[in-house]
Parts: sequence; structure tokens; C-alpha cells
Amino acid sequence: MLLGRVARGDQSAFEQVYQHIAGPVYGLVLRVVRDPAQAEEVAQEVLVDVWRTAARYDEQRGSAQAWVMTLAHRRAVDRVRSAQAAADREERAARAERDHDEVAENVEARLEREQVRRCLGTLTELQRESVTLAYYSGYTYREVAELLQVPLGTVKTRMRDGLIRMRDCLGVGER
Amino acid sequence: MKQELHALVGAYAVDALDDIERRRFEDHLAECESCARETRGLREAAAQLGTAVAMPPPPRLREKVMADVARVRPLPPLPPLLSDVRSRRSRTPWLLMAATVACLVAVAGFMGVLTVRAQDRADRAEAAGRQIIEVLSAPDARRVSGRASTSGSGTVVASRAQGKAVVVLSGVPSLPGSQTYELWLMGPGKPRPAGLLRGSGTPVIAAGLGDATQVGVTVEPAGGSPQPTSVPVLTIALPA
Repeated sequence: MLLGRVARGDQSAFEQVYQHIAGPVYGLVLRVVRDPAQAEEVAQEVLVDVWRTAARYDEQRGSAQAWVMTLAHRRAVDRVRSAQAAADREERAARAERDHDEVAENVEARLEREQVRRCLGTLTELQRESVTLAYYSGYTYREVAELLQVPLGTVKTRMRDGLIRMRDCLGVGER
Repeated sequence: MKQELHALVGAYAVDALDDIERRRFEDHLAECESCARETRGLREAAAQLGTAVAMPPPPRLREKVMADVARVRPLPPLPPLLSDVRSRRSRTPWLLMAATVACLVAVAGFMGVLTVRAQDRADRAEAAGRQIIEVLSAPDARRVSGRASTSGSGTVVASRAQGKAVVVLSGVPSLPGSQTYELWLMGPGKPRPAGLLRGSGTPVIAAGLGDATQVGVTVEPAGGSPQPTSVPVLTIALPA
């Protein structure tokens, strides 16, 4: 509803939307791109995109929250995979283990949502690593397979199973 | 093929596909209602992972965004014909089709460039993975491990027949950007540099084992050294 008003160019409606989504968008983008200056840039692009494309949001295709977070995640991942970031890839690879640690400590410490933390805990280790390396660090499933030294097919399956378990544990989406 | 594409639904929901696979999967989605439904559910779950790491943005972000918002007009909704073009292809007016085709041709030229790059990257990653798998699956592959003097450990899988070894560290301290772990092949002569190890978890392949009897790992300045400049934090005897 709010997005409907945004789509019609209502700036005060967008301000309300901003209050809801700026924190999640910025937090996620920062988690993926890591550099605060770049994160701010990407978050700005995402938030302006929400304003610009609000009319394209289709509630048949999911919640507004998922729509916004999908936009944010896609942009963040594009940024870390862009040519400019190619040079950082080596370094990102170097951080792979630290990523593990951070996923273990930081996310678990920082996850404000007890439920998400609890649900992540119900995943097998490989499911959790596959999902979090892709989602929080922006790796492709091929890269995840390489990092974890497991076959591609296994990673594909673990990402799907892991997310299905998350979905069911969180009680979101359709079964 | 369909099954294979469908198996990518999880990877798609967390944006873990490269550009080519992403497009292929999206084409598939448009024709597979059950896949679209599953994708929606998994995206909702992924979004929760996202909101769970929410952080207050710097206050100036709001000013910047609102300044843009004052300048940029929201897009109108997609005209029904365009948004629906797939399911109503047969009823799409030819003029619209012609315009769409012209657009696609222009975009395809541009995407071609991106596609090649993405494929290139995937191929390189695969090549490294393949080499590692070749060593791991060699008939004479032996696995040996050792503890590091700091913390953590290292594991070596070596194939004398291939003259290669895969080395992976685990639980070793992270190094500052100014330093790196360097791998050495040690034998009768001087230690030979065998690659930089980017900390724990990322396997490195050392080729040309030759007469090396053990591998060593030292901490070196970023970029590595031609000869070790510090005492190894880890040495592991290679299987004969």
C-alpha cells in the first residue's frame, strides 16, 4: 500500500518506507561488500531504485520486504563481482576462512533476530556454510564448492535444502 | 535438463549463479509455475537472513537518498502488454514484437561481451578445481597432516606420480594484509617456493614435487619471498 503511494510519486510515503528498509538494506550491503564507503554508495543506489521502480513491485511475486532485499542483495553481489572488484578477489579468497569465522561469530553475535539464528542452527554445517558463503560473502555456488572442496552438485543441493529448512523454520513463503 | 535447472533454485535465490546461468534459470522460471513458487519461498527465507544483519546507516545516507528522490521520477507501471509478453506472445502486436526484437539485438551485442567474461572466470575457477580433484583422486594420493607451531594445522594430499600436492591450512591465525603464508618444498637443496597460502580453508596446489621430502609453511611479507625469511610455522613430511 505504502509502495503504491511511492509508485505515484509520494515522497512522504517514501520517507516512511525509508525508515523501514534503510537499516536492513545498509546492513546487508555492508555485510556483502564490506567496505563502508562502497556500501553507502550501493545502499544509496538500491534505495533510490526502490523509489524509482516501486510500480514494478508485484505482490503476487512475494512480500515487499523480499522484493527490497532481493534488489539490495543483487546490487551488492554485482558490486563485489564487478571488474573493479576483480582485483580484490584474491584478497576475498584470503578472507575465506575469516568469513567462516565471521559467519560463525559475527552473524551469530550480530543477528538481531533470535529466530533467524535459531533457524540457522537447525541447518547441517554444510548447508549453513553453503548458504551463508553465498548470501553473506557473495560467492557463486561454483566458488563455494571450491572453497569447501565439495562437488558442485552437493553445493547446489545443500543451498536448496538449507534454504527450504530456513523457510520452513521461519514459517515464511509458500511450501 | 529441466531437473538440472530446477536444482539451481537455491543457488538462484541467494544470487549464487553467474550471469549465464542466471538468465537460463530465469527463462526456465517463466515457464515453470512450481519453480516460481519455490523461488518465492526461498527468497523470503533469504530476505530474513538479510534483515537479520540490519545496521543503522550513516545519517547522511538519508539526505543523499532524499536529494535523489526529489530529482528522479518513479517509473510508471509496466504496460500490461510488455509485462505479460511471454504468456500472450501470440496476441502481441507485431509492432511491439519488432521493437522488442530490435532492443534484444542491441542488448545481445552488449551482453555477449559480459557473457564471455563470466564464462572465462568460471572456466578458470573450474580448471583450478579440476587440478585439485585430479590430485585428490590420483591412485597413489596420500594424505598427511601436521600441527602448526602457532595454532591450527595443515593437511597435504600428495601424488608422487603426478608430482603434485594439494595443501590446505585450517585454523591458523589470520595474517594482516602486509603478510602472507608461503609454501615451500624442502629437500636436499634449498627450499623452493611453492605458492602463497591465503590463510585457512583455501587449498593451494604445489607442482613439481621432485625430490622434496617435506613441505614447510612460513610467514612472509605480502607477495612472498624467494627464500624463507622466518622459521616455518608448520612442516609436514611428504609420503615417499
